[in-house]
Amino acid sequence: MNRRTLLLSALAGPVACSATFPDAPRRLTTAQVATLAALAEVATGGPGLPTASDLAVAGRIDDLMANCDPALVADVGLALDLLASPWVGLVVTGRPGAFVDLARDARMEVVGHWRRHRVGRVRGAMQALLGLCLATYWGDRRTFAYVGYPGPMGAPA
Amino acid sequence: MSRILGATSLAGGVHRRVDVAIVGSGAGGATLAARLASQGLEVALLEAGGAHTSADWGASDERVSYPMLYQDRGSRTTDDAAITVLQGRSLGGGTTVNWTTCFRTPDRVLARWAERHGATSWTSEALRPHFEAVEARLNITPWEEGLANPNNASLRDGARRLGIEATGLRRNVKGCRNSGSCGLGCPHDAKMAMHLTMIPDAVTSGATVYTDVAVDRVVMEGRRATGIRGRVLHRGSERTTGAEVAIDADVVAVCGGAINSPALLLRSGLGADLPEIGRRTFLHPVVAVTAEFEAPVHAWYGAPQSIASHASIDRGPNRVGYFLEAAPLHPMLAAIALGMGGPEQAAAMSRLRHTTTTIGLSMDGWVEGDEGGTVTVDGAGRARLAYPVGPLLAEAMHAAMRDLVSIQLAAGALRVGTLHVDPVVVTDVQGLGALDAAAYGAHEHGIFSAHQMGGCRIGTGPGDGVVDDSLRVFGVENLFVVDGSVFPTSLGVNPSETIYAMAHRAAAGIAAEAG
Ligand SMILES: Cc1cc2nc3c(=O)[nH]c(=O)nc-3n(C[C@H](O)[C@H](O)[C@H](O)COP(=O)(O)OP(=O)(O)OC[C@H]3O[C@@H](n4cnc5c(N)ncnc54)[C@H](O)[C@@H]3O)c2cc1C
Ligand code: SF4
Repeated sequence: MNRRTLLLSALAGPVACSATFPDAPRRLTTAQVATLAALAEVATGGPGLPTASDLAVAGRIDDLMANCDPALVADVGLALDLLASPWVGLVVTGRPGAFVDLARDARMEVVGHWRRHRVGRVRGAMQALLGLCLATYWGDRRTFAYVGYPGPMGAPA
Repeated sequence: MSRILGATSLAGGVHRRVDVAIVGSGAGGATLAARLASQGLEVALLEAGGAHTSADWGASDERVSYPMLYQDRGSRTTDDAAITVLQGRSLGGGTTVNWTTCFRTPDRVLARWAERHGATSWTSEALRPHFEAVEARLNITPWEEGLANPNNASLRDGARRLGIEATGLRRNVKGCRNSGSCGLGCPHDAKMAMHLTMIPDAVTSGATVYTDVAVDRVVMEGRRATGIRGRVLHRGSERTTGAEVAIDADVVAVCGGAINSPALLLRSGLGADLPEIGRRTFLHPVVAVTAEFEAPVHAWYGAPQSIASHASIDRGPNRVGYFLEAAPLHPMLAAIALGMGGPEQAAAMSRLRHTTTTIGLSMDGWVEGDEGGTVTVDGAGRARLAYPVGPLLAEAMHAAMRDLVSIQLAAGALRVGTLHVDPVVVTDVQGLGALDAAAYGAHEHGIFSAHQMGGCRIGTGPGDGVVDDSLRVFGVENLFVVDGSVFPTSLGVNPSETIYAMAHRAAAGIAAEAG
């Protein structure tokens, strides 16, 4: 078992029950990973905490995708492509620009806009992307001291 | 040769004939396998997940356990991503990761099933010996209330201060060290899960267990099932090795759990004759509140659930009932549940050790007009679950959150917050009104499910169900469904013990068909 695999809870997409996948693993594109990294950077971290890039959050999510249902990976990719669209930045902040190029505050504004969007599925998509980043980040032992979590209570003696 | 075979031993595929092929090794499938094998029947038990044990998940790290032990590597949701669906997928199914709370089926539920759904033989009297048998085997015994962790104590103390009934419960554990890791796989093998109990029993009696095998369909010939077809998966992945599995059988029992079992029947072409397959799928949808206390709570340690309140389970004919319990709070799950990101998230995480989580579970599919969700399969055979959260459920979620907030305040919480996109934060009873101004339902706040039920429900005929009172699929003599999907309604209590007992009892009829 690869210990770097992570929880994907709250990820957008259909449930994939016992459907099986003979194809080669599907991964996110470089541009999608960059958008994810830009999201992770504003969604996580803070004073006294490592940054998302310290914990390689986006790359580890991409690694996880390799073992997932390709349909799920496609859904995540689609949500990231939408987020990356310069139109999103323009509509929300009044300034055009791909998500990765927006200033930190503007990115937060976009995240907030999607989280409160009038269309439920847009809210769902942002919760899913945030869920990925947050699970990857806060599931990392390097954040446990900040949380005050000593780790799981004991392996068998 | 080991009788539990996984991907590495199945490179050449599987081609054989048995008396009974059982799909799914969870609460229903494992119990059934143990019973049938003990009667001398040749049993093949097939499981899509891996044969994982405490040696694999070790100290129960969230990053290891969720992808290893849960459906879709922990990512299962409803179609619209509004509800996070936690469902087990490994040897033992949901029992490997469940929180060990055990209840017998409430009498009023069985009475309703008999009266309206044709489940006339499932009386408490008929089930009693089966409850007793599984309670003995799984050591289902009362959990001492004094062992409740502060998370559960907050529910008990707050509820009692408000005059709301809250009682201790029973658990299926032996030598539990109160570590709190049940949902991540027990590191001490103290949980009496199927991979440590019924599955070894089945193997001792001669059953063969095939793990890493996803069953694609039940093979049908006219009105009979002749076996199953499936594929071997790489361990820890959902990709096939290319090896095929073909097992012919006198009887097939589908025990994949809710969502999965209806999907398998649909993939097998039974949907045309049985239009109810997939309908009335229940989730016991869960809402949660978090409460901060002055003293540390450490809600990540201690048995996940020690206390339950069923005071609001019956709210009259037009209102959905709910019950209250606690939930463990490890950082990764907490981070997802809070789900806000940014500085607010970091602040909330810094207070996590002072934070309790209590939950309200709605009893869906019980009142008129609340019908649960629907499972369908897409072109690739994948299950999809559409689950509308209608006004009746939304009202119950609101009421449950109000109760939970009141209880946490009564227990001494400094502040209590909901999981809304913009959390409603209440610091005293005067502030409770803020909850009434908030919106409730899909995408308004976090909603979760750990109890999937229905979708292949017992009924009086194909017009109102999928299986008959003996759990036989309508119109197919030798095909049975034996898992939580046969429930005609949700239960209003945690479902595992009902499933164990139903499987234990159904085995006699299935053995007769196989013999
Ligand atoms: C986190 C969590 C906590 C819970 N806590 C409690 C609790 O405290 N008390 C309680 O009573 N209940 C609890 N539950 C619920 C309980 O565990 C389940 O209701 C119960 O295990 C369901 O039993 P089942 O037989 O219906 O299916 P499952 O136990 O889910 O087993 C079905 C198995 O079939 C396999 N399968 C499905 N389709 C196929 C296929 N096509 N081919 C091969 N294999 C397949 C699945 O991988 C799975 O392993 C909890 C569940 C979770 C996830
Ligand atoms: S609380 Fe008990 S049963 Fe649960 S994981 Fe810890 S030792 Fe095992």
